[in-house]
Amino acid sequence: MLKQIGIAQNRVDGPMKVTGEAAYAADRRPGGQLYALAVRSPVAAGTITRIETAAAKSVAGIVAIYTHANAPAALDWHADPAVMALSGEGLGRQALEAAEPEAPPPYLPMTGPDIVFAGQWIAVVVATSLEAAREASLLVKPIIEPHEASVEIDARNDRFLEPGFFFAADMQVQRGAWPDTAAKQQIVSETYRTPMQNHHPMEPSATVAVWDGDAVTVFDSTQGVMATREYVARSLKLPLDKVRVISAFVGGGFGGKNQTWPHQALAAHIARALGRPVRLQLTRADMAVASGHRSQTEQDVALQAASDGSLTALRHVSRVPTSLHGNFFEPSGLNSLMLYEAAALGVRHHVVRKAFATPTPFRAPGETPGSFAVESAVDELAHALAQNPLDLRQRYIPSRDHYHDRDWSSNNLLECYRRGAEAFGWPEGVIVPRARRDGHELIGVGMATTAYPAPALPAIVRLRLRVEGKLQVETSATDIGTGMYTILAQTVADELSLPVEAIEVRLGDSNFPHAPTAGRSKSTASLLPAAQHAARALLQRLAAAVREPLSELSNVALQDRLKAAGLAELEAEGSSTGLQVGQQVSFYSFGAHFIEVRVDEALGRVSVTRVVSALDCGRIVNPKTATSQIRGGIIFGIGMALMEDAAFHPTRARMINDNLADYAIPVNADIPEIDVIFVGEPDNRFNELGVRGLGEIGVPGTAAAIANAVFAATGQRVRNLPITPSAIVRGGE
Amino acid sequence: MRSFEFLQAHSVEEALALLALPSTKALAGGTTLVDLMKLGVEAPARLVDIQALPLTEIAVTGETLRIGALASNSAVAADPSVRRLCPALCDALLSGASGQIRNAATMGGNLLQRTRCPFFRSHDWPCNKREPGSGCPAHEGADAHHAVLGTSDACLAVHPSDLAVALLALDAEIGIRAGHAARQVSLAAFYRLPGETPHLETIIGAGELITHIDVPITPLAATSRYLKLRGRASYEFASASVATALHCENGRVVELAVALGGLGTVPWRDRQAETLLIGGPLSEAVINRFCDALLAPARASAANAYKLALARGAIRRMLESASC
Ligand SMILES: Cc1cc2nc3c(=O)[nH]c(=O)nc-3n(C[C@H](O)[C@H](O)[C@H](O)COP(=O)(O)OP(=O)(O)OC[C@H]3O[C@@H](n4cnc5c(N)ncnc54)[C@H](O)[C@@H]3O)c2cc1C
Repeated sequence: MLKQIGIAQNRVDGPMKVTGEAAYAADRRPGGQLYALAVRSPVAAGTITRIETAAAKSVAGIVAIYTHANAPAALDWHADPAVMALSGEGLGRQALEAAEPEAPPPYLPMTGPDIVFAGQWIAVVVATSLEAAREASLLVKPIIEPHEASVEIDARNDRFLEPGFFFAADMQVQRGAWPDTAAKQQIVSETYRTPMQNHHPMEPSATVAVWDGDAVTVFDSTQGVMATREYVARSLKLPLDKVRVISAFVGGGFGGKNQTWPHQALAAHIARALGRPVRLQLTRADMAVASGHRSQTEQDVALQAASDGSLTALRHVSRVPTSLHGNFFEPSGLNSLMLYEAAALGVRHHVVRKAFATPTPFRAPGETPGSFAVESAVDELAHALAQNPLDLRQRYIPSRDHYHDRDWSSNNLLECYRRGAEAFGWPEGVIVPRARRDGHELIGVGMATTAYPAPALPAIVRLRLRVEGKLQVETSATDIGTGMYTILAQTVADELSLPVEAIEVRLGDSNFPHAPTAGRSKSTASLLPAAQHAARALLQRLAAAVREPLSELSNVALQDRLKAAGLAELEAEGSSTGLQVGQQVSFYSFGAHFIEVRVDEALGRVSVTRVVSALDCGRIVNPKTATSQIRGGIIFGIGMALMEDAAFHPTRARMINDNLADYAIPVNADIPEIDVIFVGEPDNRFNELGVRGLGEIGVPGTAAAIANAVFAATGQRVRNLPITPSAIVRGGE
Repeated sequence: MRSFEFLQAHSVEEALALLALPSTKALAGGTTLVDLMKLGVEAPARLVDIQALPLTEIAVTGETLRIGALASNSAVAADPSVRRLCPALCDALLSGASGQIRNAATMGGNLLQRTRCPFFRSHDWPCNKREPGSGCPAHEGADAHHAVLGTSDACLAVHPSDLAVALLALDAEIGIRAGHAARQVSLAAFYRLPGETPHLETIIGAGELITHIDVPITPLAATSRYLKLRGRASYEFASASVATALHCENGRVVELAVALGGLGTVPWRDRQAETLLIGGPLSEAVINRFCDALLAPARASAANAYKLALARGAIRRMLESASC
């Protein structure tokens, strides 16, 4: 019986976090710890001729300075392609392979004199205090012979690569012939641009490495301790069991801690060389360049529809960059493939190498920039057809997964439209721009569809019943702020008829049973089935131990039974299998955002004043943490729509706003009440509980809904994000 | 951060004596200075903590509101007489930073805060203000957030203080002590245009101390207001801001003050342009003419011309909504 699942349960780790009891990576202070900070290249391309370190070395407390000149030998630090393939630099290689058979040599900082992007780490200083490290880092002076570099996409002159399969989809889908422009066809054909974005989780990444003989413990801030362990161990040329990675608490990741990055291994290499624990701390400026980012995109979207609105052709061509040596690019056409069916369909991706740091997944990669373009275009089409955008989208509800030629396991998008529109008070009929005004403000409403896959991977959860103390739940999964601690407790509580308070969940330790990295919204569906199985296995073992039938065990104190059996503790594991290959149906989540904005044109001000989002994400395990995830995603969307823009210097190709003063994200005062509605139908073909992950689905569509609302308010269609005061007053001119 | 000597002053005289030492800076709330020291932009050999000095008064004496240099931004913003006598001052302070920072920030420190230009604040960009003669990356087409008024070939950095903009509209004066000499300088004469020497920002000399700010108590000051425009609702510096004060009789402007922030290398005001508005009713046409005159010296690029539109919008909104 479900007692805890479905209850709005407070975060079980909440009190630890607000009292400071929760130890994050940089909070660990092993005795004798040294502090390491990086020095970044101010130029985007060039060759290091020399690095002056004399002044830095004279700072009191400096222990070591590593550069490409000494790091390879002193630290055994090399760009081994097999190791680099495990890191963030390797992600996407398979997709690019066909177009580019010979991979560029992998990038690893401090392995050679070449500068390949601005912000590249060219030295690391190690000192007995953070202050000394900081001072020395400012005194390291590189002498660099600069070369030309560019980060701008040039659609005409750039040499583009055509990638193959990525994110389980062909990046070059071409079906049907583009129809001739016949009469009675409505056409939208526009280019949309989204800027580069930085993850900037509240907790900057840090790695503390502590050696004990030939084994190392790495306290890290990562979304995946198992992947980190493998990368660090391979880099150190150690067997896996000599490396332990602990990431019990993570202050946000959003994809920036999803892959592995050089600092995670480098800390351990330095600690080994110096024979002391080392903390390698990324500064806020490092966070802009040393752990990935969402790249800018340029997307051409063309839609053709008959006068009744039925879609006859869709073309979505994305020009997306990757770095000179990495491989990840934004698969921004995914939602066009999954959500829209047209006889003529062209969804293509063109990738170009640019002199910036390697991009990486960022909360709903692909879907987020892609849905800005395609959901804006659908809105433009609705206006061209003089139809209500909601009516048009209802017509487009995908009856099945046309791209993979499979049915949906469940799809309640229509219900999302219905309940969201009702709660929002979505208007009927044609939306006339500039028709609503309140004093100096124009008011507009916009909407967009969101959708996100529901993957699952194999995971193992271990339970430990003890005669005293709480029942322990252990798995190497991380809680990056999502609520994993809490929903695991809820799940086990229900299986064992215990209160949540009787359970202690322990996460983020590579010595715990295997779980996948927390990313692509897969943890809930991977972990909870394993937790259920573990609980059932525990009951079975207990029944065997006390020689009572299983059915008798319900409603008795498990600890009493354990005591009676003369056991101090009893362990059991349960596993989940993840998605089966050759699945018969497609597992997806859907939703719709309804947003109201107010625009004061004279003051260049856009305020988001109302948000209602209705989502179909399966059974909701914890409405409180689930709502928080969706709200967080929508706030990301508001930031993307109105503020975020990692800006580059036009000639120096270096990021200007690599800090939180100049890289604006929303503050509380920018965020209205966000009403989140879960349709809540369990997806029982997916797993027994019918649960899907939902960490990302809040983001896609939000920026488009805002841009669509700005159009309804002002008549101004903004196709280049963000919609800044500058964009508003320029449009007014 | 470079190691430094930390000294504490217990009287103004002691502070002045200590500040006379080479490479020495006063430390008030530290919200600007410590930041810049961590970033390697400032590296004094000595800091003199002046927080214990008796300079926190907020007092009305005759025709003057006197605010001590060490009064916190929060205390001043919350003071009922400041609110009544010069509301723009409170609004400007409240529009700045965050509650926590305003609790620590002092009035003197606010006036002497340094530009938020990202090239200035990062030690490895060229910057003529930080390192005279090294160049200005903003001038190479990266000036979207930079100044359009009072700029020079050497520098485009915006003066960031909201407080200073309000004080400029309020005809405030700054009280300064150097050794045994005390002087009083109008805010309008306090800041220096960058010209060829952008590293020289104010008329205050090394070793000098701001002791107080005097705001004349006038009927005009009581009408003052502040409007700040920026890319998000709070916790951000101004893209454009305006402090206005307006005194009308029988539908005609008798007196007014309009100061601009976010556009200039220094807080900006043009008394000559203000005369265009005096004597007549406030019509859209005359406000436009005033804006034209006020912004005539602007040198804007395609990337930062929006600031001119924002300033016009803000001025128009403030004047049109004032009772006249
Ligand atoms: C995140 C952030 C956001 C901010 N946002 C805004 C904003 O929106 N608007 C705004 O206007 N400001 C803003 N500020 C700036 C803030 O107002 C200033 O940092 C603060 O007012 C400085 O005061 P302080 O006492 O901390 O000065 P300190 O940092 O102690 O000193 C600053 C400088 O003034 C000198 N000094 C201080 N007092 C005296 C004195 N009595 N005599 C002589 N010299 C003195 C110091 O030597 C130093 O050079 C922001 C600051 C931060 C950190």
